[in-house]
Amino acid sequence: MLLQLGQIFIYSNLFLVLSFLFLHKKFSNSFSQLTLLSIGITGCMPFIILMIGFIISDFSILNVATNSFIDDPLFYKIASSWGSHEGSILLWIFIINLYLLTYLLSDKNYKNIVKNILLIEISFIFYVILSSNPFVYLESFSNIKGLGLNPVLQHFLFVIHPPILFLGYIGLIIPFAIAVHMLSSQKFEKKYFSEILKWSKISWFFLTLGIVLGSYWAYSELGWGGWWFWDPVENVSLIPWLLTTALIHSTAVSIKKNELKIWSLNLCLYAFIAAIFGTFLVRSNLIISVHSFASDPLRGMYLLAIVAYLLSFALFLNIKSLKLFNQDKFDLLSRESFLLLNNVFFISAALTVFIGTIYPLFAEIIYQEKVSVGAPYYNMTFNILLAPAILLMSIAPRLSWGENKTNLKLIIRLVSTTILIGVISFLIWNNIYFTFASILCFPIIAMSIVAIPSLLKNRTITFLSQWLAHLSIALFILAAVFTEQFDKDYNIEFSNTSNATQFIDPLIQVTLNGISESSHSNHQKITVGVTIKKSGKIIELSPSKNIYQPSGEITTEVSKKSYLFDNFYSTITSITENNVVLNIVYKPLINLLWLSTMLLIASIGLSIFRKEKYE
Amino acid sequence: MKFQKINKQLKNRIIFFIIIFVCFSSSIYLISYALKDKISFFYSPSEINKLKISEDQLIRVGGLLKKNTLKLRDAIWYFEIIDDGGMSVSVVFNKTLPNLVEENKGIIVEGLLRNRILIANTVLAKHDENYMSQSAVDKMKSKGVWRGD
Repeated sequence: MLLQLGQIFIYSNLFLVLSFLFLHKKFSNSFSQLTLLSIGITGCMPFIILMIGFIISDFSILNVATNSFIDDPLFYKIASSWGSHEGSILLWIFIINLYLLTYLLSDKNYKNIVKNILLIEISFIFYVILSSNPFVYLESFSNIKGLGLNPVLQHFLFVIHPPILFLGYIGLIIPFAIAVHMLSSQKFEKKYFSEILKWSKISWFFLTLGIVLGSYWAYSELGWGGWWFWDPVENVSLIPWLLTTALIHSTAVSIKKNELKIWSLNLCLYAFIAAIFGTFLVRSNLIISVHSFASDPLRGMYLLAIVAYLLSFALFLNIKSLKLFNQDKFDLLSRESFLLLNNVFFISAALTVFIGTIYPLFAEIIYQEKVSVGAPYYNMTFNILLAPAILLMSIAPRLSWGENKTNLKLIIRLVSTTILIGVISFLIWNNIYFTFASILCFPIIAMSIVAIPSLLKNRTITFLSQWLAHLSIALFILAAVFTEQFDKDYNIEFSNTSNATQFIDPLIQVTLNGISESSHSNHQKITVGVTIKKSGKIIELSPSKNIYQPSGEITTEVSKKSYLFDNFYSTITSITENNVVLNIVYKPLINLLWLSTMLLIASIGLSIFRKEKYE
Repeated sequence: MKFQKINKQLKNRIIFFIIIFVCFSSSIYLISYALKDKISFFYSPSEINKLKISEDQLIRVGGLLKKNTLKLRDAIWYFEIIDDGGMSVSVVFNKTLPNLVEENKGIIVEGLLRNRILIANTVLAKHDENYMSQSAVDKMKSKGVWRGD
């Protein structure tokens, strides 16, 4: 029943989209609005139906039978609907239609832009029909209970991380559609740049949140490489993030100074293409990743075709707009020129990530070598390239639009205190990387403090959000470098399992409290209780092992607790009746890292809901 | 006056082009340098036995976790990785093994090679949404609920 309904909605959506694309010029205004409304609804329905299938465990749908278990808790059943490839593509279409419907509310002159959104939507509907239709009938389903969701995915972040990341990726479709419209019509209306800014901020908000949640999840699971591993799947989310960051900065110039217009529009194109490229790379299995997804060459090829089609279209628009490129006029020491520099650095950084991500593919084809590109490469390229951008961040917000005078006194003060801070930091921590990080970040923090009086006087949300965003980037860098440089890793073995105490460090004492067993709806749990004492502070940890039904799969569950900004992270290495081996990791300042990302997300959230307008 | 203005704009533009040029060319230089020296190679166990690999070179080794080799002694894991050719390499790892690491299943290890033994600093676990461990598949087959393959 649900199965047929799902199929009907997919095909009726296809029919409606096709008829709008071919006939919209003949439609009256109210009729085309009606058509678009039905497109939006029929586009959302297949995913909702699949989700209902999961909730009521309708195992006549093959996808439900292979991805959920009848006794799974409800929220995992809901989340299972995007647990598989087919479901996640339906979610993708669902979100395109959500954006379509919200966009219809905000723009009266919608046809030209909506057309471009539908051109993307239709390629994904064909994708579903040709290679990833989840509505496949399963015969003889009456006895089965379902294969169950992969136990490693059973985490509360699995419920929110994928949809939020998708909201971020697909939000870029609106700037893309607007940019295609403006570049092909060669009319650059100012109000559309405000729209681009608004929508790119919305996607940037979700994209950042999605990346941070993913990072936190990877940090919480064992063997996923920690909070950031430069894994291809992580990188492909970073590329659109970097381009969208650049886009937000350049669009501000386009609105305020009427310059960098073509540049911003091209960024819109490439940010969205980067998002789709990421999906292609993840789904095609061309590149070895820790976070792998089930893949199939046909699906990959189809997505590659979409990327190639969009890319050639973007190049065509680039060539068409080339002659307009030379009209921008700049003063060197002005806010707009610094924003342009920000763009240059961010785009170069995106380029290095892109090359690092696809290089293994080339190495395999050209040199027949299997390589993996990890942290050493990115420390050498990405970190070095973004360093000057971080330095500029301290002064850029102080500059006004147009010409500025050089404030030599300020620069001398800033440089000398920064050098002083660098020396102090080196003397205290004796670590060259952290010294470098404090030299980079101190100017931003200092200038943020200096700006507090004008922040209180000025009270504009734009200023506040920009102030907070830059400050949180500085805090983030400090925390990230500190936690990576000063973390510690201990292994302890308890051969007597009742109340044994050991010192793993002269300052850190670990006591084993006992072992307990409990049973839950779809798993058994064995928990080890430990107490850690570090210079007077007491931290209780309870790492565990879960044994899942129906598969009998055993997973190792991390237990972590924080004291202020520091985090202790423990896992059971092995457990027998009278022998327990634990791994305990000490991560200093990691919570400052999470806090700074939350502040960053809050800052952009503020600017989305601000009242005042750029004029 | 007008000439001066145009001149100034030209000067600004040239400076911008130089900055952009320097930035992009240095990124190309950094990328090519880093791709030569800062990547880790991915080997199979038979390649490790065949090739000469520097002890300072961070490498990744992939293959299957050999049956009956996974042992824990003094809080340290010992196991072997085997490939299609039947060659294997011994691995030492002193942290907790991630989920889904199981005998006869695929495994990826990153570390340094010392005396033909791989001192692992990271063991990576792949997490595919369709993943099922062999024991789980066997169990489900015996219960008659398995529909894969």
